[in-house]
Amino acid sequence: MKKTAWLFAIMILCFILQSSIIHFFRINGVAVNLVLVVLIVVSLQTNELVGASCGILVGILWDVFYTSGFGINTLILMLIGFVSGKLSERVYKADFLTNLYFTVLGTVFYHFIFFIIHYFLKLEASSILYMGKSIIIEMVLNIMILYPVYRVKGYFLRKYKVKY
Amino acid sequence: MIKHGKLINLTVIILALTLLVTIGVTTSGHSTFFEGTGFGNIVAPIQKVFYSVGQIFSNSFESLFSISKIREENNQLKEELYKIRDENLDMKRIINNSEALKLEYEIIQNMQYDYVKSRIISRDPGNWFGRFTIDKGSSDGVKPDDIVIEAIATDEGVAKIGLVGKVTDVGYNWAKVIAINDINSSVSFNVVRNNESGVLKGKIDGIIEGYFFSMTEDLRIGDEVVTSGLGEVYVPNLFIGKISKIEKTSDLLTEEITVEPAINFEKLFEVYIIKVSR
Repeated sequence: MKKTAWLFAIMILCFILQSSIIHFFRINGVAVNLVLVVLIVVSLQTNELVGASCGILVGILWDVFYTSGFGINTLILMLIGFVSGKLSERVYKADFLTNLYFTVLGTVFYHFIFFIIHYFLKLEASSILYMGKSIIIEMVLNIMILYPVYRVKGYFLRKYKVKY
Repeated sequence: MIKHGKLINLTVIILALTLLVTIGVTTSGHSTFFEGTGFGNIVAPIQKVFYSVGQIFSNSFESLFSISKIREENNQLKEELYKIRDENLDMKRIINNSEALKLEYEIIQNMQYDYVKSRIISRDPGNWFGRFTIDKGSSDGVKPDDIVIEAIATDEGVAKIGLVGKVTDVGYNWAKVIAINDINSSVSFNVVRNNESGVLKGKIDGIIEGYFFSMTEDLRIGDEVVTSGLGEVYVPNLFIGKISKIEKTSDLLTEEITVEPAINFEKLFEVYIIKVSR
């Protein structure tokens, strides 16, 4: 229980960093998605219950502050947390490459669902073409930030001897 | 008895469906659903601190990288200074008769509105839309649909007022702002020189495009564009930007323009909120 509370605190901290500091380090107008990366790493290390609830927590914050329709980010992040948590039993989660594959797929999944939902909310279909380059840049940035996140996770696991 | 694992699966599916419905319901109109909760009131002050730290970081990084360029720039600037001194006298004469002064006068006339100075505390974490939150809310009398502007310095050294966007949702000590280059934003505009009017809309890639209500004859790149006040959301004569591209529409009757905003949306920090009584 205490471990999960810490994870929630970390997720909230990541969200605050994401919405305040990170956008000053935009490359080509694209910001790295720290929340998504941390969510995937956390979900892979834990289980689907923790993953989904972390996703819901950050998603709600995100939607309350920035989205005009409530629920888009909550839905996507919940699903990402849930699926990575679910699959974590069947993959070798201590491997960096596993985390990398999940990050790449997670980024694509996030933007795909985001686009689908907004398409039904009257967004122009051609906007995915404009966004294609940004999505690829974001994916590269996500992979770049995944490595430090992954190392920090390993450090915490070793230092506090946490078992999941 | 349902198993533990199955229960979680079921909950996630039900939640997902509920959220899908919520998205549909809340997207039309303002999402006032969560304003009563204390969420924003707690997180907003923390974000404010982090945002200021980020601002300092960003500025110091910039000055660090620019040291090598400074000498080169210095020489260029000296040359330019002499040139500009010569031109200055001519310019003064021109300005006296030009639209710039008229525009400035109109803007000053319109600054009788009650306003609040405010800081941006966070930005939309995603890469799709241009929304941000500010540190003033209902406690300072900010209301939804209030107008957000920024004072800027142009080449001529005139501090014009540039339109940033409008307030959409208000919490106790924070408010959501939608920028004019957001895809969901539209502004009615006027071209200062010939009073042609139309509507500007944000695009997904962060540019602002507009169309005219009627056929236009005399458009030039660089024409200044201000709000017209139609629709009663924005007050008239707020400076938006300059026309940077003119294109014929497919029926070849009207024109579509791209407007380069006077404001750098990437580097916003302090904004003013005009309170309009409606």
